[in-house]
Amino acid sequence: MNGYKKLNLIPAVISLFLLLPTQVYAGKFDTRIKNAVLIQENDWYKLNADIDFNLSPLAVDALQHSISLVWNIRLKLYQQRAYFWDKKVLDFSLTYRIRYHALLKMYQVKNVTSGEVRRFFSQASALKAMGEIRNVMVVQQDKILNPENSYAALKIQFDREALPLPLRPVSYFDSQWQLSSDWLQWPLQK
Amino acid sequence: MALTKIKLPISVLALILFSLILLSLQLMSSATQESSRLSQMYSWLLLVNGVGFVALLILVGINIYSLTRQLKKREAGSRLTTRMVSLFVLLSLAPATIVFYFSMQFLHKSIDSWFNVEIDRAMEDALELSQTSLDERKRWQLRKSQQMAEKLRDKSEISIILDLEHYRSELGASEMTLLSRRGRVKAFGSINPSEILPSLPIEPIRLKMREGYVGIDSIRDDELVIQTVVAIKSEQKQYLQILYPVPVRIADLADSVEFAFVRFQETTFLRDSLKITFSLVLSLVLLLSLLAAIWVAFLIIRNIVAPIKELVKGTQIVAEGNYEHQLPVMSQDDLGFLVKSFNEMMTRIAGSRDEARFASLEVENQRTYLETLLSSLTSGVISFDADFKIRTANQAANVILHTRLHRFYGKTLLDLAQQHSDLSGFVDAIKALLEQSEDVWQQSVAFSGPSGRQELLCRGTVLYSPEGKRIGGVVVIDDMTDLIQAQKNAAWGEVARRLAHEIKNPLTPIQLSAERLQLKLADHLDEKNAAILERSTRTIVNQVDAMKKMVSEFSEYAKPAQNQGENIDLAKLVKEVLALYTLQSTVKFKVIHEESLPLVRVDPVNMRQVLHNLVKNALEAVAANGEITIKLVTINERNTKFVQLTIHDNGPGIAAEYIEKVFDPYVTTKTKGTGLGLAIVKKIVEEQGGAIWVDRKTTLGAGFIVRLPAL
Repeated sequence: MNGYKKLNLIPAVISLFLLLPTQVYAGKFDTRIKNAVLIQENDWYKLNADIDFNLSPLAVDALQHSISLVWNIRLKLYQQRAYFWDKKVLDFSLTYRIRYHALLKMYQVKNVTSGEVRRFFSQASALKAMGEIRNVMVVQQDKILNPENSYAALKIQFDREALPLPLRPVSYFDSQWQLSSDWLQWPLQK
Repeated sequence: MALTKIKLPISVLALILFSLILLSLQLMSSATQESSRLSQMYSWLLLVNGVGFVALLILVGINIYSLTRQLKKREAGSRLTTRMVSLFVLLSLAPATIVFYFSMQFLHKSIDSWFNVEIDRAMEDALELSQTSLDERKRWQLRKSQQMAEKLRDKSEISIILDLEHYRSELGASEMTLLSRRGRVKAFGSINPSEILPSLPIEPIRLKMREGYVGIDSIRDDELVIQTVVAIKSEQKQYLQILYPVPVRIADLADSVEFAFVRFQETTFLRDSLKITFSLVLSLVLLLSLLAAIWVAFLIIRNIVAPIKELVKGTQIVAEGNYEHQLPVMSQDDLGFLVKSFNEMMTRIAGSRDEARFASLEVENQRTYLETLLSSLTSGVISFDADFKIRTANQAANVILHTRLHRFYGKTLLDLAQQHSDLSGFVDAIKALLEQSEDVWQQSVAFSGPSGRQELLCRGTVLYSPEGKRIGGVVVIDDMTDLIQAQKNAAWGEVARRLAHEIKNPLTPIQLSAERLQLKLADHLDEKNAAILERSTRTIVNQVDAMKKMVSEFSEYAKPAQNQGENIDLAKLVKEVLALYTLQSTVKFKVIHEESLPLVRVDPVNMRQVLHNLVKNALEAVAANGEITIKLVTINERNTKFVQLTIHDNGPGIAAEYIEKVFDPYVTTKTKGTGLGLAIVKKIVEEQGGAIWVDRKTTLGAGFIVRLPAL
C-alpha cells in the first residue's frame, strides 16, 4: 500500500531535512555514573555520587562558544510490591549548569537548585568538580516507610530544552548530543 | 472513502484546516524568537507540526492510492480526476517551489550576512580590550597587596589583626583576610559589617604562588572583584587575601562587552543550526500548505467530477441498451444543464426505438404474410440475387422440382444441376434466359423427374432497384404436366369419339352386306365356291365384329365419366376381384393391407374395371409361377389422407423407353390387345379424383401405384 510505504520514509525524510550528516561517533563520549550511594546521616538520606562527564567534540565546541550545558540529576525511590508495579515513593532532582565565562576566562559550574557557583580555569577541573556530588540532602529518613523493600534509581539527564532554540531539534537526532546516562539502581539497604 | 461523504461544505472545512495550519505554524515561528515565551514549547510545537505534516501526507497518500486503484479499474471519471489533480498539483507546486527556493536563498544569505569577518574581529578585540583593562587593574591591585604585605612583614600578628580593618579601608578593599600558614582564617574584615566569612574560597594552590595570586571573580554572580593572595614574609609565614571591588562603571562595561561577545560566540556556533531551523520552519510551512491545498483539491475535484461520473455511468448504461435510465440532476450549473439535456436525449431515443420496434414488427408481419402466401401458392417461386445465386424458394418449387431448394440458397443453378442431374435440362433451359433477359420471359421446359415426365411452364422477370440497377430475378414455375395430360386426354377422347362414330357407321352395312351375300349366294354355288363364300363372309363378319368391339372400347374410353360414387372398402373390393383369378391361375397372389383402411368414394363398377385391367396386365407379364403383390396403405401428404394401392409383379418389368408412354392409348407390348387398357385405367382413376403412376423404384418386375383420396 502506497500510504504505508510513505510512512516508513518519514524519519528518513526528516533527517534528510535537517541536512545533518548522521555521523556516528564511536561512543567515546557519554555520561557514566561511576558510583552512587545514599547514606543515612542526621535523620536524612544524603546522596553521594561520582559522575564521569565525557563530552563529545561538538559539546566541547559548544561550551567553548559560551553555550550553557545543563544536566538534571534525577533520583527516584521505589518501594517493591508483589502484585502491582512498584510504588514511587520519591522523585528528587538537582540541576547543574556549566558555562564558559569569556571575560574571566573561567568555567563556571552552578548548582541551579541551590544557587552555589564555582569557578575553574580548566574545563576538565570544572567537569570533575561537577561530577562530585557530596552530601546532597535528599529526604528525611522517617519519610521512607519500608527501607528494606525499597530501591533507588539515579539518572543524569542532559537537558536538551536548555540548549539554544536552533540546537534543540537537532539535539534529538544527533548522536553527539546523547549526553545522558542510564538509570542506575541499587537497593536502599544491603 | 469517507472523504466523499463529508457533511460539512468543503469551503468551511478548507477554511478550518487552513486556519489551524496557519495558527500552528505561526506559533512555531514565534517560538523561534528566543525572547518569546513560546520558546520553551518550541520542541512541542515542532512535533505537533510534524505530526500534522505526517497526517496530511497520509490523507493525501490515501487519496492518491484510491485514485490509482480507480484508474486501474477504469472507473468512470477517474481519468478526468487524475488529470485535474495532476494539473492542480503542478500549478500549485511551481510557484510554491519558486517562492520556497528564493526564500531559502534570502534566508541563508541574510544569516550569512550577520557573520562578518570585521564584526568577528571587532568583538574579539573588544573582549581583549576589556580583558587587558582588567588585567591592568589586576596587576595594579596585586602590587598594592604586595606592598601591603611588605608593610606588614614586621608587624606582629596581634597588631595586624587589630589594625586589619584600618588597613583594609586604607587600601580601599572590600575584604581583607589574614590566613595562617596552612590557610586557616585568622582575621577577617569586610566593607560589609554583616559579613563574617570571606566571600571567595581560598584554594590552597593559590597560596603557593611565589609572587602572589591575582584573579578576577564574581561574587553572587553580579559583583566583580579582584582577588589577591599574597604571602607575608614574616617568621610565621602568613597569608593575606585582599578583595578589591571592580568599579561599577568598569564592571558594567566589561559585563556588557562580555554579554555581547557571548551572544556573538553563541550565534557563530549556531550559524548552521540557525539556517537549519529556519529552513525547517519554512519547509514545514511549504509542505503543510501544499498538502492541505492538495487534500482540499481532491475533495473539490471529486465534487466537480461527480456529475460527470454519473454522466459517464449513464452513457454506459445506455450503451447496454437501457434507454429508460434517467440521471439525477445534482447542480444547476453547466453540468446540470448537460445532465438535463442528456436525459431529454435519452427520452427521445427511447421514443425512436419504440417507433422503430413497432415499424419492424409491422415489417415482420408483412413478411410473414407474404411468406405464408408464397408457401401456399401452387406455383413455384424462386428468387435470385444479383449474382444469379438462389435466394429464396417456396414450398411449391420444392414439390415441383422434387428437391429441397433451401440447401442451395447462395448457390447457382449450375450447383443445383450438378447435385440433381435430372434437373440439368431444366437448368439449361432457364439459365440463359434468367441471366440475359432484360424483361419478362416465358419458356416451356420438359424434364424427367422421379414421378415421370413433367411439363413446366417457367416465367421469369428481372428485379430492379429503385436506381435501375439489376438486383436479381424471379422465376415462377407452373407444373403443367397434369394440365397438358388432361389436354392430351381430351384430345384423344375427342378423336376417339369421332373415329368411333365415323367408323361405326359403315361397319353395320358391311356386316349386313356380307351376311346377305352369304344368305343369297350360298345356295347358288357349288361346294367349293360355297365354302370359299362361307369362309370369306365369316372372315368379313368376324373382322367387322372385332372392329365393332374395338370401336366400342374406344367409345368407352371416349365416353365422359359415368360415376356412381359409393363409399367402398378398397381392400374388400381387391379381394373380391382377386378371388376370380386365384382359382384359375397358378400365380401367387399376395394382398397386404392395413387394419383400418379408410373408405374411398369411388364408382365400384369402374374401380373393378381398373383392378381387372391391372391384374390382367400383371398376369400377362409374369410366368406361371410368378408372384403378384397388392399392398394397401394410408398415406398422409400435405394434410390430405390418401389410400394407396400398389401392385407389383415379378415379371420382366417395363422397358425404359416405354415407361413414359405406358399410359398413352395404343401403347402396348402385347401382340394382341388394343393398348387401351392402362389408358382407361388412368382415365378412371383420375375421374375418381386419384392418380396412378409407374413405380420406378421397383427393381424386379413392374409396379403401379394408385392413390385415391380417402374419406
